[in-house]
Amino acid sequence: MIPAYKHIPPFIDFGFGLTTLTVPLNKNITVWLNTIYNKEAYNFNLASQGAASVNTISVYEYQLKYTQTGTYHISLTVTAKDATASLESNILTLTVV
Amino acid sequence: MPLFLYINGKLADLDPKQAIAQTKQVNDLNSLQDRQTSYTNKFRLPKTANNIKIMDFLTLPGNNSAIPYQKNECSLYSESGACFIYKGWAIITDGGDSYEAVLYDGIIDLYKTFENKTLAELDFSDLQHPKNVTQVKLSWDINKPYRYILADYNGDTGNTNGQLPEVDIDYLVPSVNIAWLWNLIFSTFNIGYKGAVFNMQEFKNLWLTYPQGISSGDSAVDIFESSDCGYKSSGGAVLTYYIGYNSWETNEIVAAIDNRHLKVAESGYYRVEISGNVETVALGFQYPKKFKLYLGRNSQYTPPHQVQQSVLLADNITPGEDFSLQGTIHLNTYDTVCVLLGKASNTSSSNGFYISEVNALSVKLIKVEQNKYDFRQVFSEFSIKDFMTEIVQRFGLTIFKNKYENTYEFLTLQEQLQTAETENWSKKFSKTISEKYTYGSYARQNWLRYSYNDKEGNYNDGFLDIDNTSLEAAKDIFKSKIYSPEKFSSNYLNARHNIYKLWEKETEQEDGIETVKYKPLDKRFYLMRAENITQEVRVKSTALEEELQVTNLWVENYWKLPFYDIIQGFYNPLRQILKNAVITTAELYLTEADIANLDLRKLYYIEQLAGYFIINKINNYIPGKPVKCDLVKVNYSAPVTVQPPAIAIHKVVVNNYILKIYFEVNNNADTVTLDVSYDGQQTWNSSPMVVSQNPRHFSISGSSDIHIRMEANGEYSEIVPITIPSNTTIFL
Repeated sequence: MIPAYKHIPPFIDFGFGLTTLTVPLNKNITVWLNTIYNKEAYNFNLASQGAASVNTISVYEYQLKYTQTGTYHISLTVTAKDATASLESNILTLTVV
Repeated sequence: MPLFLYINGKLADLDPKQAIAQTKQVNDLNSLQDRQTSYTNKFRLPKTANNIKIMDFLTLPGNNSAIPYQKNECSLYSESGACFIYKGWAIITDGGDSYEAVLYDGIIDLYKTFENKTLAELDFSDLQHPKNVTQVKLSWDINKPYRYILADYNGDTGNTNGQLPEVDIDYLVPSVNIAWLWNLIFSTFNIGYKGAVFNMQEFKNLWLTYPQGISSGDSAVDIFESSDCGYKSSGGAVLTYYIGYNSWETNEIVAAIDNRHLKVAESGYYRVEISGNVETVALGFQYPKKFKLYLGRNSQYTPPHQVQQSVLLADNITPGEDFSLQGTIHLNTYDTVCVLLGKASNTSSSNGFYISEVNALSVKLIKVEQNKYDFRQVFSEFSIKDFMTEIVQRFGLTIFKNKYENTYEFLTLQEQLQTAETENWSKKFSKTISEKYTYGSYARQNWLRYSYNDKEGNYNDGFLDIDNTSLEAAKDIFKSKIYSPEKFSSNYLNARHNIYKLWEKETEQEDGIETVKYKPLDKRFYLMRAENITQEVRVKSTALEEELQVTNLWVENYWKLPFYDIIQGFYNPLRQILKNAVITTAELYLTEADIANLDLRKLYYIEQLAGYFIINKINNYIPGKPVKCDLVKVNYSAPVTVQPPAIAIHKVVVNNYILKIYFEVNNNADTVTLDVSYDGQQTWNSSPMVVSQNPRHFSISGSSDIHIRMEANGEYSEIVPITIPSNTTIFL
């Protein structure tokens, strides 16, 4: 049986599969979505609380900048446009020092 | 049913009884090696006056028709106006009493556009640059289509480990960004493309190395040489001398002004080599006095003692001893360079300084050829079609042409299976002709392979496995032109890194001394990723005598590039289909509109066959007749729901000797147990408690590296290592 590809949860990382990262203040970081989706059929929402800026390059690439030290959690929700699936990604942990 | 065929914009005459059977396909899942285009059967075009004119009098005596050799644009319509083929290709041959034609459409345009073309046809002006330390650093600091990715290319890497590693750029090569190259191909040929993979890190962070080892200084050219030198001095008692030239053996310079200022025709790096034996002394007392040699720039008509030192060749040279020195200087077009001799820097000016005797002296000026990367030349051996095949195979892509525009969509099978777009063809179903459970062209292991320096290598290959004992054991379905890095890694910048061989090390014995020669290799295309790191490194060029201290670096990474990773990442849906293959050949009644509007990206539902299908192929469709279709069943399973763990630790706050443990229980346990191990998980001390005690506080006595875990109804959480005492928060 083929798994239901509509229901594959998104996997995000900081590049090269890294899910935790420590960066200095004001450094640009990139969050990548690694799971492929038919973007005509899904909506994408990055939760990046505390980010001073979020630049969406594409639904697969987000550039973030943090201007306050601390530990932040980043995740992504992929929702099917026909509302048949709402998929939560893994959670990234970013430490800004 | 009548059809209307336009060839090169003119309506051709068709025999009213002529049937044109159309086969529609994009990617035959039977054959992964290539991608397919749609086509018709071979049909006859009567040699009417109109058709002969359209064919530019082909087959008539004395004709000079180019029709059989050129792209003949064709469109095919039904009587009702349904467009079967829009701007396809008509291949015309002579069939005796009539012409014979075959029509192609779909991705044929793409492949025809790239046919017999190589990457050398692209404009690589954005890649041209002089190679020096500054340019290498620039490729790390700003976005450029090329980047000098730090890696062991098996050249003279320098002392790349230790507290302050050094990297010799003479043995680095630039790599070209694949996304940039891909875009350049399509924009050059004015073709549109889209696809989700082109936005993913696996594609955007993919680099193709320059395939040849070339070192700066490999092709240095002598442009001036003299061993008949003269001297002009100034400076009173402490003299400084210009080295001049009375005659010369080689003279490729623009001019030797005053026989001492060598004027060059081209901008670039120049090396001055000087050797000899000179005696310098104090003016009055005649005792030896050390001297220095240095280079000056654009100092004609300036007394030597007033010339600013540009490059020091050597200081504190002992008079009367043989010396052999060299120095590199950057000169602009028509700059001059001169050699000067003066008192050593740390000697006193007392008692003066002058040359008492020149026993020997010779000077040579050499133009150092910086690495000239000729991308056009090296890419001339890489056809665009092969390059495209590399990308299509690596990402498991199927190409869909937009029927009315010169635009192509590249989709992975996963995207295709995900799509919400389905169409119900149940009413078109006539009967099942056959059902097969294997794909004929596959084996049990279907290999995707790299090229290797070691011909026996296969460590980065991977295979698509099909669990079907009736298939042959193994076969290669893709052989890449790209080379794999070496099997064993090396220490590079204090970490293990892959070796991408662009030089071969050869050990030679010379006068009993072992020396290593670096022989450049050719035609070695490698793919790699660039990983940004922060590390202090001394970046130098031995040939150009430059160096910089740099902290922002890009090093190689081979993440998800072995074929076994690629198969896992991009071929899993196909593997699932092939493992439980159900290939149904069914007869369907399709209308002209069905064929004209056919979208092979969709999944088609057929109630009688109880499932969704990918259309693998529509065979020989003739309007008004049932048609055989190859259908691949897509068995959707129920949505995969991930069960939460029975018990999980989310966070541990460590405050010296006190732990605060946050956890979650999902198996209705009333009590949980905190286990603590003080001996590397050999034994555990258990402390039961009620579930509601969350977070759990726990105090540790004494300093120790401990491990904790939690248990609920016989199920355990992950194990968390903690150092006591410490002040930290651990997120899980």
